[in-house]
Amino acid sequence: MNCEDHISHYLKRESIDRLPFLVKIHLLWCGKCRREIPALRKNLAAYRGIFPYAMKRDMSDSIMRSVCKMLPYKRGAVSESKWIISGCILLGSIFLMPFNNSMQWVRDSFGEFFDIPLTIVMGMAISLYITLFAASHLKNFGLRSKIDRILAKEAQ
Amino acid sequence: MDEQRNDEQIVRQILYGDTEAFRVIVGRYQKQIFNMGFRFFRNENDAYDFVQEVFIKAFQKLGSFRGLSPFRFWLLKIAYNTGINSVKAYKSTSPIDDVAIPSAEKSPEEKHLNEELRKLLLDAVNTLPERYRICVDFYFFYGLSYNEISSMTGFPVNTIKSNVFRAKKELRDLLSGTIAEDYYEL
Repeated sequence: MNCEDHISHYLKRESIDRLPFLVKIHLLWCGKCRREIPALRKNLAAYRGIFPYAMKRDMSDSIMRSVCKMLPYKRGAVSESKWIISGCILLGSIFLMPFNNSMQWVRDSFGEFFDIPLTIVMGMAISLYITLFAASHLKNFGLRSKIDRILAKEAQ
Repeated sequence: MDEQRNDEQIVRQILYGDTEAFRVIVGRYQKQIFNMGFRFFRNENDAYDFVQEVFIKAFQKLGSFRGLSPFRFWLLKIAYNTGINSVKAYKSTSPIDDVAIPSAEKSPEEKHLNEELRKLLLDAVNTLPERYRICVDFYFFYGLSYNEISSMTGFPVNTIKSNVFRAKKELRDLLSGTIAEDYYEL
């Protein structure tokens, strides 16, 4: 391998900070490369953190003005995963109820008439869950901005 | 105090309602986004509009940031996608070198050296096909790895590798005999 091959070998590598072993060996007896490669390495490293075009204007204020017009984030106390898990448990328990021993016990004790109030209670539970979920995720349904617009109009 | 916090902590703060913390994020990354805008539009005013658009988009999407990759990478990806989408409808009118402005550096000597380095890199980058120039920017200025550039741009790693290699080789030729080479040899 001649000097050009060694330099190409170094330039082909992703990291410019480390010299390949073969190149290091080559540097031991090649004075020309001993001057060129470290200088090249420093020049390439000098590009990090410098940018070719300078910003004359600070954009922070104009961006913050636009951002402050938007609604601030309000992260709910209940995480998304908890919502999903509790929803699955609720739905699963409703669907599995007819196959459960306790349901059979309820039927034996109170007769078939108990099915209707139980269904109403379950329906209310799932409605309550959906209502709470929707209320806390208005932004996802695109309703929050509409509601805010209506409230703003009313305030005017 | 905000200056010491990492990006992910600041994002959490914003998501808990402290919108003002977003100013720190803007301060940290506006230069990088501006430079990307300049690469896409070759025009200072459009680059400023690009910065505004990217940060507003980032704020709107902040809720979807899961922290699976560093925030910086997430933001650059938004910027890159925004740039790619806007540039399709955009026809550049001025060559990039005509509007290049050197940044302010600390000492006059460093300033001169960095100006020369920047100019040389721009010359080297300009020898590459236009669509790959951004990859070289990502590699040199943003310090991204080949894999990160590939996942951001969708170009194969080997294509990025060969373009960065071409740029490095060109840069080496351009550097020989300049003050940049002499500076480090001293």
